[in-house]
Amino acid sequence: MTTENRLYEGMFVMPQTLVREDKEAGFEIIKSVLGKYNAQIEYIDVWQERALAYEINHVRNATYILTYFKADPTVISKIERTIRITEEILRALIVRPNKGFDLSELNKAADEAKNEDSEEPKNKATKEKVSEVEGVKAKDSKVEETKVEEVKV
Amino acid sequence: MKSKFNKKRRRIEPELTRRYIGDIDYKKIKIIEKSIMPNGKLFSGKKNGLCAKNQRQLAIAAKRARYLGLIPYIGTTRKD
Repeated sequence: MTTENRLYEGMFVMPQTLVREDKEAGFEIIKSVLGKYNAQIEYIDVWQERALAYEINHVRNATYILTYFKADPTVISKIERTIRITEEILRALIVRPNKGFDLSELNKAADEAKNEDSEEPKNKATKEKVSEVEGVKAKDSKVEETKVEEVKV
Repeated sequence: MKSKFNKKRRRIEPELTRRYIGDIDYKKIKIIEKSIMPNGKLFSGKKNGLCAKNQRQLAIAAKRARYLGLIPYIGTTRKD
């Protein structure tokens, strides 16, 4: 019997210390696990970096990596077993996406975000400068106010 | 005397009827956090103001979110 490859959504929880410095290193671990069973990865990216609601293996802060991949349904249980053995992955959840889910929209959004990132650094730098200048001004005005009050007294 | 049925209900959506607010999955943490009690239990569909379909989705989503460490099993989220 031949089975068709299906689309799956995988959420992987990894320690923040491992992924923060080198994002690709984290991706490589996931890719190697999925690649073992000939799963085709359609999308992989960091979803969120956040504090865990409870400690897992003495880890408090984690990075959530969202993936979409196509794989044979019979292979999923094997993938889950391999994940449980892999030390770098704290938790993982593999589910089928909702019926109306469209992967192409997600890819488009990712592309747009990348383009924005490439434009952003200049704006960020200017914003920081402006905020610094404003902060200094605010401090100066406070100092002046205190002086005036002293004089009044 | 005030009737016990006049108590104000807390709802995710401030509507009189229970309604559908689009598919809910474990990634929509804001909705899930709103729908759990301080001890970690889920509110009923009536209190959440969600339709039956949404409430079923929410129950599954909350369980998945708990497993992934997005929301706690017991109590409120740690703040540090």
